[in-house]
Amino acid sequence: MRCCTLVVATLVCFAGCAAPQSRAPFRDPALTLQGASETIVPGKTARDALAANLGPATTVRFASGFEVWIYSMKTAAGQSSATSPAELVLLLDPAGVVQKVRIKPAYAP
Amino acid sequence: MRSPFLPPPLAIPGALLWLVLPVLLAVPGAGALAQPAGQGSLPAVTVNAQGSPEAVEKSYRKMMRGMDLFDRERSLSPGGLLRFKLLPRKRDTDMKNIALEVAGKTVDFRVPVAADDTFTLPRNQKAFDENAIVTPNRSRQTMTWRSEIRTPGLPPDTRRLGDLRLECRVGMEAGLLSNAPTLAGRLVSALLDTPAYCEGKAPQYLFFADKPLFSVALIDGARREVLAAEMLYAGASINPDLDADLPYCDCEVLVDRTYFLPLGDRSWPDDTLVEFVHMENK
Repeated sequence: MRCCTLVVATLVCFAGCAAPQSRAPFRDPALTLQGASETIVPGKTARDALAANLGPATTVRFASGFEVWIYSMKTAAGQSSATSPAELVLLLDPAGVVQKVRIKPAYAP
Repeated sequence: MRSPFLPPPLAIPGALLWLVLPVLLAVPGAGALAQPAGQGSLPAVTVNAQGSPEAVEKSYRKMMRGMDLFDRERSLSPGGLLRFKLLPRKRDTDMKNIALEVAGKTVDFRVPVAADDTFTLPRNQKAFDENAIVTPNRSRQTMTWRSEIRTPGLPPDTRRLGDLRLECRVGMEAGLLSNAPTLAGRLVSALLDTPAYCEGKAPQYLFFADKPLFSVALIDGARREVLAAEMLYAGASINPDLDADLPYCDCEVLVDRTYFLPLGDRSWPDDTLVEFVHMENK
């Protein structure tokens, strides 16, 4: 039996890719992690709306039916790869509804 | 890139594995490696024929050595209490009514297992001298083992980093990880599974939380850092080969409870609290 499944979604590179700062991982390249988190209502926002509004994420699916969606800021050119990038992490319950939201800031090495 | 989720015995540089394996395969009879210490550069590997080939078993001597290390390195966990813990490795592993036995050539005694699947191992010189095995009444590959060191009185849903540093060191010394199903894998493990592994900045020693995890943070006074998602779930978020690798990981059915820690990053003192947010609040 498969315990969990990893889906690494393709991240599409928009015009924002050339910006000198860390790049947002969202469909709307101007969206910040904080801004993205404010579009999500725990207990209400569902998987389809999430994908439509924010775009594809790296997801980890567990045998329990829970899923974790991860949107990571991408390291910009010139930024140390040792820097732990900022992340928006979402927990979806087995029904596909967001239950928890958290933001991890970037940390310098 | 090497799979980041693999537990220590398999998480070795590929080049090293391929360097070691041909040497092992060229040896006429694997037992040739079971030589006394001092006759070669390889550590001694004991082949124990006392137990059933189908049973889970651990070396009593190694577990005693883990307990000795705990006593020697109490400064990492001055108030901590050491127990050993059994964990399921398969979805259908029955964790109820486990009968745990220490068995040597002439010595044989039962070890009580608590309701939380932990136990302490009594010191017994005869069992040590007879190189006894510690074995539950369960089949091989159905369980895994860890040391568990907890300082009483911590806030709910927290652990102490020094306790976990010592857990790693005791676990490696005691030979508790169960990730290498083949003889070659076990021989490689014998070379690499040492407490020194725990000194790496972010060693891939898998810890298991009590419940599925959503977040893990380190807290030292005013300094608070949340671990990256890749430090959770056995590194699943950066390992596209997870499903293929899982049968070789003793985290097979506990992935949602696993996390790595920056054990060797001494900017985090031993008193650092490791704070857990679980998937479910219940």
